[in-house]
Amino acid sequence: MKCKKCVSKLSLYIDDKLPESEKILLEKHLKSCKECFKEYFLLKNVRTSLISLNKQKAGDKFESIIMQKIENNLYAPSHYSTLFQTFKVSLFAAAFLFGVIATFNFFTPSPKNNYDKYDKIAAIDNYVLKGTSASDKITSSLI
Amino acid sequence: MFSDIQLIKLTKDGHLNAFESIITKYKDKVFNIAFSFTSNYSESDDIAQNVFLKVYSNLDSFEEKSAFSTWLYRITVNECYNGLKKRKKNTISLETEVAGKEDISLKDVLADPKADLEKNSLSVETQNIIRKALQELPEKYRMIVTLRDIEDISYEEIAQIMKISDAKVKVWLFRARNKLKEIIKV
Ligand SMILES: [Zn+2]
Repeated sequence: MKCKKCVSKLSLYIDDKLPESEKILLEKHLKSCKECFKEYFLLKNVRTSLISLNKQKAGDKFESIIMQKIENNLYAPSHYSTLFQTFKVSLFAAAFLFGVIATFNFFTPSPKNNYDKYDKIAAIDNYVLKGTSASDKITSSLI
Repeated sequence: MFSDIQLIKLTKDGHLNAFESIITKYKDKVFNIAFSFTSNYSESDDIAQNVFLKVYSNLDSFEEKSAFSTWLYRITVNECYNGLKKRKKNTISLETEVAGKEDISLKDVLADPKADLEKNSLSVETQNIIRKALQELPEKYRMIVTLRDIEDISYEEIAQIMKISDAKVKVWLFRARNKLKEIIKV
């Protein structure tokens, strides 16, 4: 194995990612080449130093800060937002329907003002019927 | 003990304490990745908080094809990069909290037979030198050594987290470690 090839394999070697046959060749070269061994030594120590770095920890109140933010509803799960979206669509549909009905009612003359279309007898019938219902109400309230 | 998948299902069903358990389980790992990347406590805290808030609000998009941790670390990597963009945008640059003396080289430490690296006994000074060197690496190299050497994540998982091929993982790691070695040697 040549030095250039050896150096290019060192990173995989320290992670034990080389096929057995290449590993044997590389180790053979390292035993006989001081330069490559020095490279290996430095690279291995870089990795060991990184592994040995003190682990930094999140604060003790980390969970409570996040849970507080979630509970304050600053962050809603996407399925909640889908639900909210559906609710918004239904609300809009309902408002639109209400608007259509209201407009239709506004332009449609009410039956009260429609007496001129009826003949007089019908108008009297209507009056009598109203009266009846009113008297019924009085009677029922007396009972 | 609940599995990650069980905790996620419970969270989706509205049990917030299940999500709190997820945070407790992973907060230090996420924080440590952020700190290795930024070398800044308050920035790492912001990143870690954003990670868990994003995880919570995107739980529905988590497909159980990969491990939860892979998905979580993927979000962590993205948040680290986003934090960096924000940092670059700010005209006032944030100073890293690593105060290493520039005239001290790790070469001396590595050459010292008393420096027992295997037993996790790096002096504060040496740690600062390494963290400073990490900051000099291009971001993708800094991230890959963070995941592999600091967090001990496998090549396969790194490929998924960083969304790169297995071959690229090998190449980037080779370049990152060599660059780091050169920075430290100077
Ligand atoms: Zn050689």
